[in-house]
Amino acid sequence: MNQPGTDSLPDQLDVCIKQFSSAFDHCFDFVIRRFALPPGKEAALLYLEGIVDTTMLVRYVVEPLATASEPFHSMADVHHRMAVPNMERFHAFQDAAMGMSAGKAVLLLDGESEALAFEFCSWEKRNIEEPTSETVVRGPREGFVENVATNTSLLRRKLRHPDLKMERMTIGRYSQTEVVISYIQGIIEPHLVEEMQTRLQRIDVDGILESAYIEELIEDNPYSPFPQVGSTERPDTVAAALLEGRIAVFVGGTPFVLLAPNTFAMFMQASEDYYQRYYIASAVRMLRYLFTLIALLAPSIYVAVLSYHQEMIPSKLILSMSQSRESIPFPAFVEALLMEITFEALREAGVRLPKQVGAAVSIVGALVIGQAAIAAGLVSAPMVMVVAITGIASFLIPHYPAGISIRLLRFPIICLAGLLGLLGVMLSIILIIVHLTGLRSFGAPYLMPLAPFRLEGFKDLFVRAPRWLLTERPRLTGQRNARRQGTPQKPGPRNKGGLP
Amino acid sequence: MMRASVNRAGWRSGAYRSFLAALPLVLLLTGCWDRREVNDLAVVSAIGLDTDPNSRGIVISAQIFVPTPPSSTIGGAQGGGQMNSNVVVAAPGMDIADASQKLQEKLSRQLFWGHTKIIVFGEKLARRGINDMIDYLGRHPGPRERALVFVSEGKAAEKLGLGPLIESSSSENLREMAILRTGLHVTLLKLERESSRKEAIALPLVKSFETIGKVQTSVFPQGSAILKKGKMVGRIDDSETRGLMWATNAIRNGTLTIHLDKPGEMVSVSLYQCKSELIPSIRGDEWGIRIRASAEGNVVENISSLDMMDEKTILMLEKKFEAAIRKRIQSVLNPLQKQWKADAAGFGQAFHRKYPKPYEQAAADWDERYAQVRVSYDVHLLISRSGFTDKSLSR
Repeated sequence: MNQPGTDSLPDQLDVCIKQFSSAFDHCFDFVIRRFALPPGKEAALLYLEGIVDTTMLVRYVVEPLATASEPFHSMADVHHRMAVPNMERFHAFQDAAMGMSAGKAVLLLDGESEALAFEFCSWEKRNIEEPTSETVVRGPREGFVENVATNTSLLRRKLRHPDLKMERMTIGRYSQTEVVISYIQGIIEPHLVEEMQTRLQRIDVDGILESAYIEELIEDNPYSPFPQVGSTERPDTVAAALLEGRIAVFVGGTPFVLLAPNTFAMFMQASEDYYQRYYIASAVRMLRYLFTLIALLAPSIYVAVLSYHQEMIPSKLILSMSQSRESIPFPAFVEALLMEITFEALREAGVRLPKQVGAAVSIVGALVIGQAAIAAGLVSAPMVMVVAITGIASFLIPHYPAGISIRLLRFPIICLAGLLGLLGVMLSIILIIVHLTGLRSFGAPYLMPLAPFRLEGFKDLFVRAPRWLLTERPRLTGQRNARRQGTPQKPGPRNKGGLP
Repeated sequence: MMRASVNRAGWRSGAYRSFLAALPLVLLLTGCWDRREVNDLAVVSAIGLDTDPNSRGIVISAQIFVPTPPSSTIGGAQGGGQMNSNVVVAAPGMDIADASQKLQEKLSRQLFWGHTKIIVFGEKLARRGINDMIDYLGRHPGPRERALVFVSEGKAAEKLGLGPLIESSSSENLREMAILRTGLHVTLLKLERESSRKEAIALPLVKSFETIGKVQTSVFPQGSAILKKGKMVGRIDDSETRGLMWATNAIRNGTLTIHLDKPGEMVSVSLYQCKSELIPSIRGDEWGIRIRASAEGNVVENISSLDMMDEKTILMLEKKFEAAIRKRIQSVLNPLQKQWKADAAGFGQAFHRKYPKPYEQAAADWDERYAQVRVSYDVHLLISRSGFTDKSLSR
């Protein structure tokens, strides 16, 4: 199988079949079906059972060939006369074998050093369902599936324009995963497409089983805890990203489509922000930023203040806190770590466990990190509250992987807070900000539009400005085709004076 | 541009690596030497300072919060049973630092001054002088600048030891009452500032009282102590304190009652939007202060035959109330000027602001000059509402 793909097919059918049989040795699903074409020409149809729709194959290939009134003279003749939409001519053995692995049926003719491949794939595929990781109250309910062709068709249905480009490539030595780069010509910066192609082409791994494989291999800074490539299961999110001049990468076998470049602000934007009234969307978005800070800092600030800066706690609070902490054997730092780790464990257990057991875990978890722990005198009530708030807060980040990053960063910050107090918290904030400002995603600064400062970008940062004000595309790596709508889009009655 | 960002040579350079390797060592340098758990703190909510009868030193007494762990029953997580309890611990010493060290030696937990909100000086100590104490309170990072300062009738330690009525501790009692602004509200910051600038200051006076029925003794601020050059020179009563508050623009609201000409007749107004300012003037050798005070009030009680719907009545009442306010201010300025020569109303400051040069010349014998300052009044009261009825309901 690992011979170079330039090996041409032998023109004798038997030799050719032997070559295929040896290549597909030990494959029970490899089928050779020999038959004769009308003038008595030997022919063979090779395919892998299960991934080829045999009914279709018989109806559209075998029957027309076997019952043709006029004789076929050559492969070119067959190709010319067959009424099958997806046909491909292979000259190299390697290509033909790969094609077969990808679900094609290969027709060989005696005396022809050429194979004709028909695509009658019958992959089992999932129905289009509501995406589970990004649900909305208002908005389209369709989500991507594992099939690239279905996914690209979902996108095509949203952007019906020839400028929507889809470039296909195959990655993965053994997985031969279908990867499609999609963008809108005229909006995208051409060098971005080039960059994406270069980064994808240099990937040389044995298999791509999820888009995360690719994500990890095309990131700008592989050491960063922050994801630099976005991912989504929602066709509308992909369409919106393409309209912003970004690029999408569809990967076969996963409903998650990659989006690049991706800035930090984009992780805070949920698709529903754009489907709700802008007041609500803005309020919710500010809430998200607030709770992101809480998710990142609440336990560490609690630890720092409680073990170094007791002056900062309101007097009445410290009195009740010192009461609740009176019987706690651990220092606040240990207590915080204990609780945070327990919470993460419960969360992980909840995700990983079968659904039937999940409920039990959450009940036990609520008791473990809730009442029982307090009653047993292991943790104090305020700590439980801080952990609970933090736990909830991190789920407010719409992009799940970004939320996980934030949650993980919490631990080193707690440690620094336990060591240095608020100084440690400040130190870690500074470190994170320094890191974020230096980070880039496909050339776009990660903290855009905060740093570098772009006032225009603030319309879609902490608030979501009304649609009619969002006249420009976000400035990421360049500015092609900057205006995204006609200027006077602000609605209102035509007659200001009243009824006409 | 993108290329450059993708491969950063800096990441792999030797210097960078050794820097990264050295970075964790920084953490070892600091450690948690100053970490203190809440359970290891003795939270001081109030301190009292008294004279030491046995020496020239002082006695410091601290009201310390005693946390009681919550009852460990499922459901009743917090707050059941007795919520708070306090103890007062005292220790003598040469100065505050010394005394608090002695105090620390008596306690199993580290004294924590960060929540000290009340500082009470015993009357004896106040008469001996508090200026030396202020230095510690201002210099040490522990006590809060927003702590409230009081002078107590008798020993401060005894007052701190009294139980609270409604609040969680007697110090909290005092604090909440000062916040109501029924009396003076002097923070440590204000005391520090004023004691360096002004020569006299009025501090609220803490007294004790007994409740009716089941007898409980508790504390409340009433009247104030006048301190001149850090030494207490005298006391003024509640109504004089109100007068002082009128003069210093410290008054916020209150109720004022006047007797009318006919015996047994009186009217009360509830005041709000009270304002006052001191307007100094120098004419030749005569220094004068005009106290311009204004307030609005609503009639809340009318025990007379007057008709509150009559504009003339209102105008007449306004005059009478203005006179009452004026009398109040006078009642405190008289002893301040003549008896103690203590400028607690801040005349000196007012002169200093408007006439810096003449004031500085007069500063040397300000006491004498202050006693001579002629005070004039410009009080204006507006009765804006007369309540729901016109005439008295009973007469």
